[in-house]
Amino acid sequence: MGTGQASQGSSEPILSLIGISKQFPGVRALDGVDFHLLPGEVHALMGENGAGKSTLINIISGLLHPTSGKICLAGKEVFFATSMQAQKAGISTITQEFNLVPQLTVAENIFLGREPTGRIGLLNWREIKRRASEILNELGLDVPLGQRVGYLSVGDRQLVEIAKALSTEFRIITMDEPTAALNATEVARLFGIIEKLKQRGVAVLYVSHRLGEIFRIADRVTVLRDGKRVGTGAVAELTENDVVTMMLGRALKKEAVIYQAIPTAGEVALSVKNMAIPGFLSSVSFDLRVGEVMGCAGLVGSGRYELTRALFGLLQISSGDVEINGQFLRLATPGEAIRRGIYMLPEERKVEGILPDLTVRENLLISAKRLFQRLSELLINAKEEEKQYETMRKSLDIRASSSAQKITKLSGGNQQKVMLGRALMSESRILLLNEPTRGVDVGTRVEIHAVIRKLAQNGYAIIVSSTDIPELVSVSDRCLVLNVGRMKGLLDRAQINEDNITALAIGQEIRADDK
Amino acid sequence: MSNAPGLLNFKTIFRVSHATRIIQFAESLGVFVLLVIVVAGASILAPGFFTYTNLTNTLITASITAVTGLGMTFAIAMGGFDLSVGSVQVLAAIVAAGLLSMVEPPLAILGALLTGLALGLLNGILISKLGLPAFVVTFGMMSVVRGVALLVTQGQSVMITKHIEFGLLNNGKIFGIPVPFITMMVVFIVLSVLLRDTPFGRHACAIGGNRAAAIVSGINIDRVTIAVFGLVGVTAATSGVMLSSQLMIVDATLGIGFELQAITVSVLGGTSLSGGHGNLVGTVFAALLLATIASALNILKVVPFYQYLALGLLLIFALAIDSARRAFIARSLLSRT
Amino acid sequence: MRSGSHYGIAALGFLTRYYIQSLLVLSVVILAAVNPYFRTAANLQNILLQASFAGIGAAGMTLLIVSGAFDLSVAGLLGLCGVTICELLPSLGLVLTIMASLILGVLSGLLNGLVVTKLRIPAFIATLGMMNIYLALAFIWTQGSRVVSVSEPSFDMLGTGTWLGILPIPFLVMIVTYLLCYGILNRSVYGRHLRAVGSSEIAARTAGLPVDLIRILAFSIVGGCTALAGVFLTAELSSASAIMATGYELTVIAVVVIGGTSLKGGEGTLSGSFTGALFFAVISTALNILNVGAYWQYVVTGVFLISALGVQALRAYVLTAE
Repeated sequence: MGTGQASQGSSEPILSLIGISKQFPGVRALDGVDFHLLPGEVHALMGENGAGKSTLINIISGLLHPTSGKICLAGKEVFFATSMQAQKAGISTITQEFNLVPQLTVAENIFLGREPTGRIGLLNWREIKRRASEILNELGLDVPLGQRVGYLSVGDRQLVEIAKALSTEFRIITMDEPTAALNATEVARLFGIIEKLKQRGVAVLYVSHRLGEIFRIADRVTVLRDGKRVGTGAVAELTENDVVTMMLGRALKKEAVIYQAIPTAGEVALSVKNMAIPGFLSSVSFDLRVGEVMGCAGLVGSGRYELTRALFGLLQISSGDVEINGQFLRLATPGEAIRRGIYMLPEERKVEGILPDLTVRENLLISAKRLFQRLSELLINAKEEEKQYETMRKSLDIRASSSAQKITKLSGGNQQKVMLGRALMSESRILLLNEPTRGVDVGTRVEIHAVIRKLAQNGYAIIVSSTDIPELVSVSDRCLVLNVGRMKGLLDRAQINEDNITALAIGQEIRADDK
Repeated sequence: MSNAPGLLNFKTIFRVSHATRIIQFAESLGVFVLLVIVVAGASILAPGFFTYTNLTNTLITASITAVTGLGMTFAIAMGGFDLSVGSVQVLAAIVAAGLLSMVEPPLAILGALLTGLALGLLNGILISKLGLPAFVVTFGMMSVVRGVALLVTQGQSVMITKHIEFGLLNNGKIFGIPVPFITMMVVFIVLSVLLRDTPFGRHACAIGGNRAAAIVSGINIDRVTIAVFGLVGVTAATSGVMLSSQLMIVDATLGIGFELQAITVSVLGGTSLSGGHGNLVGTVFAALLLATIASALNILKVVPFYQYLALGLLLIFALAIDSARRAFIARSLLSRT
Repeated sequence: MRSGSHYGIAALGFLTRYYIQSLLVLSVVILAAVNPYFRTAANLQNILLQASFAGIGAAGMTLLIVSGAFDLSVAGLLGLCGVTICELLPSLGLVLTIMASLILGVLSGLLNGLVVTKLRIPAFIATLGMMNIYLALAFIWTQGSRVVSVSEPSFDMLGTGTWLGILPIPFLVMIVTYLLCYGILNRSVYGRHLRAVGSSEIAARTAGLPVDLIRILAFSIVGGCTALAGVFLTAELSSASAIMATGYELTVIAVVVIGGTSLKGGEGTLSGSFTGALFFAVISTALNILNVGAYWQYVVTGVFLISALGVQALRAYVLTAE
């Protein structure tokens, strides 16, 4: 169980980060951050995507080493070579992917790697059950110790993860987006436990996007922006607007943006009515028109990720209708989606995008021909393909030494261009672009945005689903904002700006008179 | 929220939710029920099945398969495989038979077991330290060891002439129970304790269930892998010793296809290929099932090759059920609650 | 200092990339120098003949491994095809029998593919089970390992006939098979899809490829190649039995692996498998000539397989160091 010696409100920090910087090739993730964590406090860490929150957490838990600066634990300077060392020093980390073994029981997972044994090396079940039930009691988690973790709900599993931490002597616990997958009851339960941890003197470092929750549970909040610490303050003395201002760097303005004319939108290409995916989305409806770019915004757990995947046949819709050109769709595979004219650019290029052993040209053209579509197209027509490659290379400005180069040798930005080219070569007129400029340098980013706008002008219907809000502002004609699985708003051009999107995404309302 | 102290008493600890209980029940009992049905069917349809001699022989055959099957179950729980067990078995049998002409039975048995251990450890080292894929490595070893067995015997049979009391390992009875069965029970008990009641066993399951979690928990993957494969080697060698005691004359062509039987009884017994869990009881029942089917078919004078067919079909059937079960679990885990 | 390790890496790179060719040349040179019989035309003819049996099977297996799967049932399937040929030849005549055998092979491969993709069972263990089934069927048909013989001159010619006096017909067919498979792998859309599926199944799916269909076709190709190899093996032996091809799957996979095709899938080399088949034939012939027991075959094959894996691991290391 956590054993913070000092009681809540003590002024000696349990953890201090002084001048911490972290340099990655090409990007400075953290820049001279000073950060202090007091025992018995709940300290929230906020910031936009890329502000450095994850990097900071990883440094604290020993997964990353700082490029410069020092870390002090209870006044003594420490260096964590591995995450195990940080654990042993009393820092517990709860990540979004639980480190649980689904086939083992609750009790076994709690003590994994640290099992108490008897004299002949056998597990001391009595001890395990005693301590485990104490911990579960403490957490108010009413699941049987003999239950396999795989059968528990996500909320229960998270508590088992916390129970793991509780079984060690720990003084600091970091939680990264802990409520992303929880329902309201489970969130309340989690907060109750955090309160208990506070009373024991444990310091809780709480990373989240959700403003409402921060104001419920945290004592202090630190805001990061572009790798720097912008401000720290007591939650009681701040308003939500103050925090958002720190995050964005300026006051939240809900002004109308001067808007440039869009081409008159064409007919409806894709019509979505009351689409629902159990556990992820409830009742989303919109019409996507030819010639328009619709942005789709939403934080972790909002359903943004699942929306496009469902439209592409990778996820099953439980209810609702999707129509293309007036015809109903029931998509079971991506292949079917492509045949109906929809193509999706996946979010994780490395995992489900590029084909690592294949060349640039092959990656580009892989979706172009259906197998056995026409008997005459069984063989590869190298000349024809070179022409197609050249056309695409020019229009997208792909930098590759030749079409026969292995795709893995290209830079991230160029790989993304190839992926975009692949989408275009598939002859689908409805494009679902997920994070189209992720991992792409600034110059390429601008190029890709220009391409997206040009495609729309040429008659494509495009959805850009992204966590990069400025990107959505740059390219969207309209913007759908999701929050906790619901459509929080569908902004038209006049209303699209960073502030509105951010506000809706974190759950705030935009009042009519703010527009 | 239940905050009442003492709520989690002894009974509560062992309580499981209805759904889980049914699944776990079905896992272990499914094969048992099947076994009972088949035994009943065999007794009715095959005259001579339910005789003392026949039951004893069936039990012995089942025990030999079960011993290696239990080891294989352990490996599958860790997420690994050993295709070389058939070859290891025959080499151990040859070593035992060969050593018997020179030393006392206990030493001969020890020699055979050490052979199995060494081969198993070699598998484990190649797989973990060199990072080579498990099934291909053991696939290659299957051939190497078989070749060694052929070389050592030069294609000849090895007959056990000295120390004929060695046959008691097969024919002897303690309190009326055939010794091979007792051997199998001993292996069963040892492996059960290892799997369920030692950190080693739990770590093996962790590696199979969620390798990343195992690493983060500080488990030494290499060491556990090597040890588990060593264990499999020892069980295969034990089967080999039992085999040599049964036949009293061994040659290098024995045990072909044995790995298939070992894998089949593991999967049929409820151990999932996805790892994380090993159903040792189920393996024993499945081995009995297999032996019963074989025995019944023999009595009915069904051509032995239909048994090959049955074995193959049984494996595919068991694997199909396993994959269906895995898909079902994955889908139910995908939803949030 | 730096140039030393640089040359070392370069040398290692050359060796790992061309090791099978080097091995082949080396072994031939050494054996020809050491053993007079090795230098005879009869020996060369024999090597080419022996190489074609595993070689033809390895062509199809290369394609399958490129797609990320394995087929361990080929030994049983070959036996089944061989037995089929012997049983059907008297009544159906040469052409029809061969066609029947090929159809049987392709359909069996299709079945393998269905079991793996539709029942979602890992390939190597599913095919292990199917192996038993094919073996069993062959056993049942021959009522137990009974050897079935044929005496049909035109059929025997397939096994013993030669072109230009030295090139055995099976070897010629092997060349054609490899050319065909090379075309499929490197010049056809399907080949590209095969490589895509082996490279990253998830990405292939997201790109809209019909992964299951691609896999099933690959299994069918393996089945066809196995049947083809069975035709020639049966012709050479003038007989067949259920266990005529015991250990075939090991040899074929070892040939593919030692030829340089990576087990991870995504890329493969048919010329490597071709060379590998020749190499294995050289080695096994050498073992025979040098009167080393046939039992060494097993040991050698297994050791080569494991070492080839080690070399591949080394090559992957070299590639990242370059």
